[in-house]
Amino acid sequence: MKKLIALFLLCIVIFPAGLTEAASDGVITVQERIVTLPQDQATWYLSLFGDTNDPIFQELKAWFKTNEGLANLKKQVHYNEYTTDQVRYDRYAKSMPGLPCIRVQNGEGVVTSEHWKDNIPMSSKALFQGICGDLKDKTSWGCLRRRRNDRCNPQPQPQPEPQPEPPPDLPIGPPKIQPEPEPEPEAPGFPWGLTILSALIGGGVGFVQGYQTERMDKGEPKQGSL
Amino acid sequence: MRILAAVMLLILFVGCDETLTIDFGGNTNVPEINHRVIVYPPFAEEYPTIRIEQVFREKNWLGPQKKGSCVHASMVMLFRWQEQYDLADRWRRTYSDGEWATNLAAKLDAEGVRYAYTSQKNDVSFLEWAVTTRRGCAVTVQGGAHMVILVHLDTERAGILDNNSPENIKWVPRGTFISEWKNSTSWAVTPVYSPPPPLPYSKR
Repeated sequence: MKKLIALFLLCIVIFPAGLTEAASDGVITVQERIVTLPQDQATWYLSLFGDTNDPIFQELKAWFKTNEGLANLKKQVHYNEYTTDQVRYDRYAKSMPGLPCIRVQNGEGVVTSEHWKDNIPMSSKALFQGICGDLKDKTSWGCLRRRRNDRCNPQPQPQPEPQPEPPPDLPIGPPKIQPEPEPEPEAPGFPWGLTILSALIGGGVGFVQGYQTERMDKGEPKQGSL
Repeated sequence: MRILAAVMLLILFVGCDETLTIDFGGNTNVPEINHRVIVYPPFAEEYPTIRIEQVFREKNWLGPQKKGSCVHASMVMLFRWQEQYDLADRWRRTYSDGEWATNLAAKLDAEGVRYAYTSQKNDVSFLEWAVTTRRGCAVTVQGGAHMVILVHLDTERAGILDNNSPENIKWVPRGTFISEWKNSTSWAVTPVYSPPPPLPYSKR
């Protein structure tokens, strides 16, 4: 019984002391001190830039919460949102191609995917696929898929199936609304060759006729007239 | 007859101009659809690595005990760099005067701040880590009497942002800085949040 009491007292003395020591070393999660430094030098950056009052920017922000793929991507990168009224935005303003903008950079800062303004796909799913495509094939980034201008009317429509991606070297151009006019057939040029040929033939015929007339005038017999 | 000849010559020479603008009237503006050509620099142009904006730099101030608040000024700037603006403002209002490593750690814990620090271990790898992750860190100098921010560290030099004169970055040889840091209790501390993205560039 005495041993049991001694053990109990020992536990009372030891445990709080151990807890305190552990806490002061940051081992216990009571502290926020990071003991194992995150080696995230190579972690990529995903940044959203836009105007606070821009509904498309707000929609984009929501996509990164509601779309599973985008939300998952967000967890794996340094994710930042910047609005034009922030001081920090000035740091990137010169490099902004248009707003709103979604920019993906690798750990060194190299831009690997960038979608902005009319280049932003019209659905979160398409955006996710677009970013994935850019990251898989860096050469295709910037050559984007469906544009917001492709919307024919603002009514909500069923989301279209993802379009096959164009080859990377396709030039970006405005959406084609009307079929291209067929090239007009070339106007026929002046038939110089035919004219010269006709002139030559006419001249030759005239020369022969004149020669024959002259011979007849001189009383020479016609060939084959004998 | 001469006038007619002159008019005919003019008509003939109209096509010799390089550009012939024809106004058909009406709105002929072509809708601009994402045709801006982006040319990123072919190299990373940020120098120093942790380029804290001037408006985010905090000058050292005297606390109630008439001591400088270099530790807190450094922390405030690092909070802002790592985009913890509310925390930075709260820290600026709440804490002042001189500080020790353990006391600062206690305050950071109390505020629920994610942070990392090293002290009296001469751990240069901590400095390398802080700079390569683009977080930066506050470091002791002058025998431990002062704290500044290490904003750059490469094989040749170190960039120092001193809260006593935060307008400019001070550049010192790497060896000189590290030697001084080691002789100043080698204390380094930084918040651990997401750093802002680097300026874009392209290697293509």
